[in-house]
Amino acid sequence: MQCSRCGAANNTGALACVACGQPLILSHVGSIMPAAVGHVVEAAPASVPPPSAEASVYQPTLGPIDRESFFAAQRRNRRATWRLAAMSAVAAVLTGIPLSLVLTPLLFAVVLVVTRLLGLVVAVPDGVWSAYQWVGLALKRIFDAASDSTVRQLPIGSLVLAASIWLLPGIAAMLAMWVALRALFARAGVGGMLLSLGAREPRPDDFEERQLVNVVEEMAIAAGIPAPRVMLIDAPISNAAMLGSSTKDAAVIVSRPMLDHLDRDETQGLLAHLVASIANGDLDGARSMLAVFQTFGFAAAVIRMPISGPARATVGRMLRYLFGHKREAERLDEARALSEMLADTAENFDEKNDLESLTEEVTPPVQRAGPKLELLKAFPFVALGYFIYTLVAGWPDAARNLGFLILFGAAGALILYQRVYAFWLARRVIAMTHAIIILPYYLAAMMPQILLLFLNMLVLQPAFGLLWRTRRYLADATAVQLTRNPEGLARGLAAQAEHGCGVAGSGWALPMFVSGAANMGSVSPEAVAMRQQLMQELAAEMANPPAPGMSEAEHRAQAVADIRRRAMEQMPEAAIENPPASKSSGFGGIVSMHPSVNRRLRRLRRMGAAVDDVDPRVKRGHQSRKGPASFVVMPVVFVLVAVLAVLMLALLAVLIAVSVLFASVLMMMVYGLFAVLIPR
Amino acid sequence: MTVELIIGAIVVLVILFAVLTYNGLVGKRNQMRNAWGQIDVQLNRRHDLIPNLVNAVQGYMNHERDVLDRVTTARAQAIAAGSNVAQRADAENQLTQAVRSLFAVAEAYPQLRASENMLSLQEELSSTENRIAFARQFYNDSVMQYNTARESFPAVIFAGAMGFHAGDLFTLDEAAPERAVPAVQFG
Repeated sequence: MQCSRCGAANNTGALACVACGQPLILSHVGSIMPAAVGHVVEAAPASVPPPSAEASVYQPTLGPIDRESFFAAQRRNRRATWRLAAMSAVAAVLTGIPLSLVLTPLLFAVVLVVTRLLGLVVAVPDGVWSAYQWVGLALKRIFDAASDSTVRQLPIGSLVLAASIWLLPGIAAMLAMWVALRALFARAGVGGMLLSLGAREPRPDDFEERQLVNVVEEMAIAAGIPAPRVMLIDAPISNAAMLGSSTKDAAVIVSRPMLDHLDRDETQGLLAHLVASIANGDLDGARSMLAVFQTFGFAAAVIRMPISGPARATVGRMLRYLFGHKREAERLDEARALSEMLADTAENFDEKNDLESLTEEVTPPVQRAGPKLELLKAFPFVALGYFIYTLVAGWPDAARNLGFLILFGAAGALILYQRVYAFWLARRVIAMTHAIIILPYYLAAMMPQILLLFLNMLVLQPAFGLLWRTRRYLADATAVQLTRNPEGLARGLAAQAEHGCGVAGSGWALPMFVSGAANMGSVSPEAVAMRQQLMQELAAEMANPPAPGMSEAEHRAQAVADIRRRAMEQMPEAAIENPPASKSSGFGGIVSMHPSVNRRLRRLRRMGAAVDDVDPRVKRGHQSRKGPASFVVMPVVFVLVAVLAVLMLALLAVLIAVSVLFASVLMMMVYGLFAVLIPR
Repeated sequence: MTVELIIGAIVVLVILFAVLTYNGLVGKRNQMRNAWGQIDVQLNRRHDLIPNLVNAVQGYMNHERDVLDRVTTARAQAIAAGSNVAQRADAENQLTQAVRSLFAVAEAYPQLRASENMLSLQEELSSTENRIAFARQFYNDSVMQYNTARESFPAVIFAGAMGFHAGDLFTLDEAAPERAVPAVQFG
């Protein structure tokens, strides 16, 4: 959009000229009322100064040299996807290691006992027992060999073999669980919880929403897939996301204000990205990715089940979902909620466990119950006094026993009366016993939990982040194939970088959004209320008769522009500065799930777009500061990243070594206990 | 024995490869045929929309009868052409031209241009034009993928013999009116 005063080029949707500050109120109304606004712009004052020299428009070099066809871009990104998919598989297998630490000793104990029981019925060959001993006592043999000076070479080979046997059950269980969870929540898909944020069907009488449905259907035709369902949310943010589990039940969810910021081409570009992503099978990919985190969460819950109430509740809810009979619609809701909950479990390690709650339970819950129970302390004295008195008085035995019965009855009644206090005593005894039993397990389960946390942070999230970013580039290239218009997507992304932000409680749906704008935040209820109020004001304004000489459409365009300007002035702060509603950060690890807008724009320029980089420092009117020259910073950053990567790999190796050591000690303990308790 | 095993393994691999290639070709050919069908669906959608358009505008522009008549006759001809590809393409092209000139004439009627109904009809029709274009684009992309797969080695050896004939791209005739760039006047 050119400024009417100085001629500088501005982003579509900008409210004021970047060069001279002239308001551009009518500039982006064109998206709503193309025909009506056209001649209002033409009627701009004739005394327009010629465009100044420095406000030159970005001119891309279009030609065969620097231009990449979208087919080439797609091929390149597909190859990169395969490399990263293999990396993610390795990462998923690695997560089996922590589980092995708990699973293998338990499994080993079960196998030993079962073999022993079998030995009562049939003859078990000696080879089996020596194999068990070999697996159980691998570490001991290493130590024996190390202390024995006659042995020249340590049996490292056998330790490696034993270690792989120890770690195998966990990895196999993890893979099996991953497959099962992936199938179990297949229908819930990814991002289903976004629908619970007040999503609605598009209104057929709303022009922009009707246009959105058309755009989505056009893109689906271009991609050759069934048209995804279109849903809208009235949150004062600007973003769009896809959700579902396959091309057949996919949906796109768009926030209503996004349609106000963008013209038809921009909307088409962003929606083409989502449709392309759906057609490329990213919903399935996201499902697989989420299933890894869910497996992870489920494994963590199972490990912590003996020591943590919330973990037991999670597993219990899972079992109820599996075996409970509910109506189909409820099941889908439950699957969505459960899917989200399991993934959350993977990263919430700070929940209260039984040992911590014990410290709360040992303090008396009801203090007022105490003093009355003090009466019981007098009971022995009362009983003794009564006994001596009856002896002195020479009461017959029957009468004396009746008196005792009455005394004991009274004491019992007092205890019953104080049942809260009595129950507290009983709970205290049970809790202490519980603590003594679970303490060793608590210590044993510490290690896998720490390992899980590290793997999650350092391996899984970065691997999936990089993978998903490649899929974003792929979807961008496919979107260009669908629209044959790199410009629209590029302009849409640039506008998103200015206006876009997240959706409250998006959590694990975060990667499903079209852009992870730099200012991804979340939205408060206040901001939602503010939008509703502004919409009411718009309706009130529209109820007034238009000014003389103004058509209905012009009147509406004016009112919309006015309301929108006020919304943009008031809302962003309210929308950004509130804490996120979801306690989970979802995929928000150390590597972002979306490439930066400028990287995407650079690739789109290679495919022929002519949109300049957005300045990440210019956000909502903050002044841009000149950073240090990038050719100085880049090598330093590169070296730092390389050092970090090496450190992470070293840490990973140490973690695996520690877990192998830990597992070997546990196995030795199990074997030792077995040898002592159930000798052959 | 070893030699026989190796030969057996090679034969199995070749058969497996042939089956995969064959199935791939069948899939791509079916996608191409489906894409062709999609174009038809979108053309029919346009036929359904046109009576609404004519109803919406005729109240405002009664003395532009000839433009309206052109649209109506072109639609009738397109429907009458049925599955005759050459006639149908001609009639559809004429319909495109007629609708464009209708919108051009409608520009001269401010009330019509500002009416909500007209705006949404205009959106529906331009969306339909887009759909037709996108359906053609998808068809051409599918043809390109199919032809590339068909002409790549080793599929090229047996593709022709097994009845996989080259797909035709959807191209516009040089003389077709769609190729003519509409003249735009600023005034």
